Amino acid sequence: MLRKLYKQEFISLYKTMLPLYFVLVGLSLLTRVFSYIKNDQKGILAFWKTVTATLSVAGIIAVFVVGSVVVIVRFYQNLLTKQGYLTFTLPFKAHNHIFCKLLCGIVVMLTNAVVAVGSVVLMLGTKENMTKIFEFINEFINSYFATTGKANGIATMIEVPIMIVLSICTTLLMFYASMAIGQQFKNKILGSVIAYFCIYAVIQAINTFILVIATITGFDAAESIFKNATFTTITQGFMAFIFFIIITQGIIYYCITNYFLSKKLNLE
Amino acid sequence: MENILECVALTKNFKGNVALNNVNFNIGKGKIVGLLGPNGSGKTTFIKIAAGLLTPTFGEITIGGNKIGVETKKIVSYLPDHNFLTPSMTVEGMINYFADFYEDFVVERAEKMLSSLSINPRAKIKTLSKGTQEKVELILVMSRKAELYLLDEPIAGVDPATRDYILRTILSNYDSNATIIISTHLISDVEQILSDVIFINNSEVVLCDTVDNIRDNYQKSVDEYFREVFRC
Repeated sequence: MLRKLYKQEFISLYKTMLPLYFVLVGLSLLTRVFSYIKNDQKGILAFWKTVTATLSVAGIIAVFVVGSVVVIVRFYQNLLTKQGYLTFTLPFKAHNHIFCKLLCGIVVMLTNAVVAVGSVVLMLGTKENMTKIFEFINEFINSYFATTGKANGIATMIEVPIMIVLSICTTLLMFYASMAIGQQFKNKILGSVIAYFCIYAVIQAINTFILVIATITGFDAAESIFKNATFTTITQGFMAFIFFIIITQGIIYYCITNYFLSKKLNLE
Repeated sequence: MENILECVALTKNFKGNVALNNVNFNIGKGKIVGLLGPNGSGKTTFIKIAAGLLTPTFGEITIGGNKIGVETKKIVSYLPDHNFLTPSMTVEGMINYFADFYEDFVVERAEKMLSSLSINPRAKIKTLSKGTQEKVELILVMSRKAELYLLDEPIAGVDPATRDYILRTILSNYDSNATIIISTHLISDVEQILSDVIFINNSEVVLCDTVDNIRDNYQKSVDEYFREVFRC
């Protein structure tokens, strides 16, 4: 049954995104075709060469912006407007809906990234350019490994993509929590915006507090910790700290969202 | 008789306002119950709690022996007093949506009703008139073989011909073992199909009886008795 919930969510999200993907791919192909026009050529062809290139870049930005808006608006419309009357009477718990929206949202955002990279490859992916890109990546990895050590480098290269996905996850959950709180107010949209800025302010205040405390008390402790620590220990310790912060925030936002959708739903 | 719904000390407060106050009653299987009361008496709040959209402040409702949750949502078919259809979907899409999520949804029944009303299944919801959208909602809700139907103001805001259609649809599509709770203040229109009534006023239940008992005891129709009880 949960599979059907995910199916409906993907259908709804990709119904908006697929046309945008096709437009972007089309523009990228046109840009590629016009790229064969020599730079010194003037007239209508040169004009279209500039136009398609500009539109393609705008298209990439649009895919990211529209994708994010669609994911957030979908949560609001499907759960917190009149459609919520149907959604919340389906035989699922509130957390099923939150997870479904979150997972599908992440997949859409990752698809946006893949389509954006794909369109860049379509535009610029000549054999010569691709060779240069791979050479650059290879060079970067080698110099990175030389600085960090191979094991530490590989670990970081695995950790960074996971961190990006978790950051998207936490950012989405922050929006969900804001909307779940905001629906308590008569003007739900205004309430959501206010709730978002309040959450943001609280997080910033906590971060500043931790930073101030760390600055005042942490130097001696840090010196003794880092004295005998290797570079690997320091980078992995730092990564673990960042993971902890992101995951903790995500869990708090999830709990807030689940509480308001389960216990304080206000559809009117 | 076995009860489909049991309501014990049900209380719901909204920021200091009491929407339901210590409500207690049971509803047996196979009944058509009118939840009757003036606007703002607490009818919709009760139905929303039973549908799982609100949580009570105190007390509880059980449906089919279960607390409100996933299991009760499987056996309850709910028609809200708001349009719940997705405007961008087609009528056919909404039918598939219901068929996907409710195992008791009978597609053939929905298609038959659409055909009898000459509603194009391929039409987008947003292109339909308000009245037709309400009919589509009713068709979706009544095409389920549910154990309990919760119909919140199903005949409010529709013309008399549509009202007749809605009542006919309700009567012709429910299984005799199923229970229907109809919330309304248009009593004369629904009285003919009710077996029981619950009068609710100022957040409290003031009467819970069969239609036959009311007629026998007070020598009045439910509509007449309602007007007497709720006279301003």
